[in-house]
Amino acid sequence: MTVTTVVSGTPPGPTRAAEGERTAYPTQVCRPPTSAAAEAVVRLEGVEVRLGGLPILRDIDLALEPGRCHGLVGGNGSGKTTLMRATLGLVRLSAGRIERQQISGPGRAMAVFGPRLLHPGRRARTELALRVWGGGGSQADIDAAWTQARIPSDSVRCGTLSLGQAHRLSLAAALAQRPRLLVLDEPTVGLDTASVTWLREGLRALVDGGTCVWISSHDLSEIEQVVDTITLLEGGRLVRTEPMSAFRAAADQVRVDGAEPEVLRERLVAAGATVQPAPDGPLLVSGMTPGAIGALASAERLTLTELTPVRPALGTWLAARAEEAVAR
Amino acid sequence: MNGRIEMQADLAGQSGSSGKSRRSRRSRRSRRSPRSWSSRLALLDVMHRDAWRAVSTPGPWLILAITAASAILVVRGITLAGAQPSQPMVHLAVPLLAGLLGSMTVGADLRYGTWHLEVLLAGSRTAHWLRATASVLALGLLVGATSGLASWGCCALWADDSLGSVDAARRAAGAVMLAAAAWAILGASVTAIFGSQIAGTSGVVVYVMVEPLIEPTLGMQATWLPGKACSELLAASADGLADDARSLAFRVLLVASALWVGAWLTVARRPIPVVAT
Repeated sequence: MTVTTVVSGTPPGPTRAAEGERTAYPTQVCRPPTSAAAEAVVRLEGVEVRLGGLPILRDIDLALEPGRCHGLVGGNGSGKTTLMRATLGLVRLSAGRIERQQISGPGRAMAVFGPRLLHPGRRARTELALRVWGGGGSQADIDAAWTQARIPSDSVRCGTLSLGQAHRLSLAAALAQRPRLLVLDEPTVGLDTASVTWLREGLRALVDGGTCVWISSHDLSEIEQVVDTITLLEGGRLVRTEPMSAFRAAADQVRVDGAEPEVLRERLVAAGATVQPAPDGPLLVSGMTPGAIGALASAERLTLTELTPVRPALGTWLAARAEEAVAR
Repeated sequence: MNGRIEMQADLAGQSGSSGKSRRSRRSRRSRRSPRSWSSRLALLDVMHRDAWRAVSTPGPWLILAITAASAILVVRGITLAGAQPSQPMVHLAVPLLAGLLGSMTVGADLRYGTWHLEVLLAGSRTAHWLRATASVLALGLLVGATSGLASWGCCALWADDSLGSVDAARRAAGAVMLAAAAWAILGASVTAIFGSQIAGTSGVVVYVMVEPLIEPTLGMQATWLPGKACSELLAASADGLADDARSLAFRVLLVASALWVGAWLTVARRPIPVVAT
């Protein structure tokens, strides 16, 4: 049975269009690289949310596809959590439309909004079992999730768990449900390195199984490793959505220095590379891999004193993309 | 829920044909399809899960213990004073305790930020509200049954036959269970409307204290007050109970239902927090 749920607020009217908000921040919805266009699990069109009379989200257009991990970044108060709440149907829309594909049933969509959202008087094992059971999980799923949660005792109560343990318990319960849409807000808070690796592997397995994972985080290094597309939200407006492949492609600069920099520059340019001087002296080379540069230097008998791949920080790259979007 | 909701379902093969005979329809209805059994099992599964959830925290057990202790202490105190206990006296604390139970059960989701999780697990706000109030209703009945059983046992032990008659006790147990269930729903509804466990619990306690003060000012309309209606229901004699029970139960349930609907409308419209409050 195919079920499509469409939730809409007031349709976008001429007043909003007249304000010219859309022209200031063009949005781009990414498609998966596969040839078959996957149908979006959630599609937001012109979504606006006001809370207490204040506009929190404005004119959001976004599509989240299955089998993909989507990242959501933005400053404090930019509306990330509200956008996730609105997508899950926890907040009424002031305007716009949300189309949900087969995620309106019990446990089809799941979220972890924080580590401490547990009843402190309930046993941790019971809390986890209730969540997995509520999402349609079996006893085997409960046992597996309990093992993953790594809580030392069955009788420990949620109120006595550490921040990391509580978060890992919530995440283990959410992962065990294998929902169609999984929303995680700051999922790495309080987690140790091993837990972050466990979470990363768990998310990748879910995505491979067709789940749409949506992560909001300030931990850009973690976002960089996990997500397939990244969305930047600022001031309640969706600034830009980019595939992470665009970021990785931007990381093809190599920092090169040698005993004879001018000769090296000439040879690199002759080989088809783009060469710019770095602010502190060495050359920044685009269009050639470090291996190709090394081979060229060896063939030309040039001595290299530095050969370092350069990748801009994700934050810097996103800020540049945002500036481009605003300038457009 | 949020504005307009459209459900487009492919229901091919599920619509009935108008040309079918009544007999074939009856035989089809009488057959137990695997789907209907699985639906029933799923409902039992949901009820089992919700019941387990409701009693998996210390709060309900504490309230049940206080209910039993309250009934025992009141009966013992009255009998030691040489008087005969009456239903309203024995079950004096039941409305307050049941109201607190409803408030604490529903309010815990608000206080500990798990309301959104239950909405997602239930599939919708309405489904969650129905399931939450079903749990509260069951717990309210349990509070009433606990008070009824404790008082009946104590009266049989220490008092004369004032509550010892099986027929009277049965009717009284029904009345106190109805009163407790209605007050549990009231507590849950008030908490949902306030959107806060502390405000809901305080509201129940304050109302129980304030109702006797506003009762004289309302004249005949006072019978619609939930506390007054409950005490009338409990005070009705065994003979008169059958005659009065319907109208009294109607009043109690009407007030509880009105608040329940108000709470449902509030729950359906208000943003659901994702933080502990």
